[in-house]
Amino acid sequence: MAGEVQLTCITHRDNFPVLAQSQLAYVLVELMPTQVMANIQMPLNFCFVLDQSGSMGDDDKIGQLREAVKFAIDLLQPNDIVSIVAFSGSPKTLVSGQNAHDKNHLKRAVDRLMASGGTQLGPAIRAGLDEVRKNLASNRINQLVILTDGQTENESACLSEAENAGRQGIKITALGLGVDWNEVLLVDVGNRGGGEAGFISQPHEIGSYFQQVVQNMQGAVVRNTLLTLRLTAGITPRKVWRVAPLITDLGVRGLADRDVQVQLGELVKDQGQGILVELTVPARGEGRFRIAQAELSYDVPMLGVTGERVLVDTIVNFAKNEPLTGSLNPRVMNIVEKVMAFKMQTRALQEAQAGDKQNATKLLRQAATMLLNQGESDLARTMKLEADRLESGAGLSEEGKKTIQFKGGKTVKLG
Amino acid sequence: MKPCSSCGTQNEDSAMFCDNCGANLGGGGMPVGAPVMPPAQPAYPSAAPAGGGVTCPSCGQSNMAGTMFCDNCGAALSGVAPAPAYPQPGVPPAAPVYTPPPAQPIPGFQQPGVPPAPGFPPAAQPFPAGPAVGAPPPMPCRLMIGGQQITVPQKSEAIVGRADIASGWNPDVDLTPFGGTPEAGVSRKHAKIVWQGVWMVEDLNSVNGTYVRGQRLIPAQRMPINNGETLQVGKLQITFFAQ
Repeated sequence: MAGEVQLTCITHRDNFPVLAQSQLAYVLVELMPTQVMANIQMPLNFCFVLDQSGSMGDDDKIGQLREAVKFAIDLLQPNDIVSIVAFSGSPKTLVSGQNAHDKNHLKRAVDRLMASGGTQLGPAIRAGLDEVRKNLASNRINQLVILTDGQTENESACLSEAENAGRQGIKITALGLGVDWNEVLLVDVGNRGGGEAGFISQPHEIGSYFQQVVQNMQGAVVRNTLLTLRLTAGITPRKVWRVAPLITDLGVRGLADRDVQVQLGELVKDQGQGILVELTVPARGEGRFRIAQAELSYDVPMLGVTGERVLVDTIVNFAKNEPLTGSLNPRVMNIVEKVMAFKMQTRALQEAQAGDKQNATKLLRQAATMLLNQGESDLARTMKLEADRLESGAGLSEEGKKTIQFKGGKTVKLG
Repeated sequence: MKPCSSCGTQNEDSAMFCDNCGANLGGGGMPVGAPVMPPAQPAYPSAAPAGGGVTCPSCGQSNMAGTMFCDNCGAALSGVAPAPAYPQPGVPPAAPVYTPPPAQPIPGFQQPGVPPAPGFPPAAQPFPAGPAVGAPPPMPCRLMIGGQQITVPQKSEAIVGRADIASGWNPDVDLTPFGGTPEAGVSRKHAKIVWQGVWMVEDLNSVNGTYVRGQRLIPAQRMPINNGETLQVGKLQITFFAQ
């Protein structure tokens, strides 16, 4: 079979100027599951690990959490396997790993979430992993979905458990609610667990986050995605970014002499992945040239497809005609600008952390300008306010810092 | 098998482009037998200043040709950004209060959810300020304001603005006698007319801006100007004549 994934490669301009020296080319590679996959879902085996410490009683966080979990249960298929671990000073298994065919039974268990006590995340991760391990299967999405609103005791226990999860292929999504949690820890937990961390600023947003997380698990229908970009002689890779669903600097990992190879893991329906590659192209005369050939290989376990391959050429024209070379591809340029804003923003957070408020202010303002150009006005406003704070001598606000860190990478949408 | 006329590599008969060097193997674009990779010629001296890259007008960083945003400070290097709502780095903020984006779309701005306008960047494309070429123009250019004519000094760079007696500042082109007052939004050092083989205009961080063909210039980024086109300095409308 073929046609499960659409692969496209476009450059920031169709016509490159003939120059005496090397120039930079931006290539956007997009990978998107096609309509063929519309009705396919991955079966799940996942565990909610939910904070029910005393602070969850404030602002009815616990009430919003109960409703959000019930909402997520409604999204499950009868053959999905779900478990629920609640934790405060110690973990308590509310639902042991089971099929989701009796949703009312599951929802009644959710009503036992009660806010009281301290926060011990490490043992809760272990209890959640134990539940997932009972039904561990390579043809299911094995995952932990953690939500916490506070600082945990014994962070090293959390990290070693996350490490164990990563080794067993159990992915971790770690969500922080409000501003009192430690983003360094949750990002580390997410990374070690092969997943990611996220920031939920308001309790009423938990529901939509859980919906997104469940749909992303069910929609992860393409697996073991590997992208290879074979470059024409003389062309060298300079930088590789993942731009969607989350802007990530892939640095020079996987950059070989004439190949760029990136392990992309799962492709989620309606979300896909976008990769931006910066290439150095040597001086060329007029004419059409292939600068690269992209090859994608992937599996679709639900269709019994393994090692399927797609090939796409990236062909550009070199011209001396100025009107031709002056026109840029808006789609690629918008993404290039968002990635550059992300780069500025990341450096701003580092500079602020290191105490260089002046530089951080400048970088934040530059990122805000770029994001405003791109219509990301909420994020731009947050950055502007944080830049003002820095300029007035104050530090970054917790909320602003978390918003920039966690939302600043989600500006690119494909499809 | 089909040999590549450029590098000699043997390619599959069905191949359109050489597997090794990417050259077109026929079937489109190039006449058969033509050299596939003719020696490159410098065709755009203004886009490729000596030194091999693009110097960032904002921070001075040297970037590779074709770079769209400065590697160091992120400033747009090819005029991709429309006139910014926020002050550019290095420019003192005009007002300390953040103004939320208005509900009405501003021309040139992309609103959330609205796909970018085709033809990005819009209309004319400002050139990054390259190092000054230095040679004076073969003949001076002229400016026409309200029926009066000014001959611009025959220099590679001429500063346009208004004289300030108190500080002893006298620009190459003093607009004061032609209505170039602070009320008309003319700064002391407002803009620069530059000869670098073609005529260019550069805004010098003026408060009220410099416009070419109705488009506000990004400070320190040069924009070409053609014979007979309108140059707006603050509120002052000026017609530019190349000779």
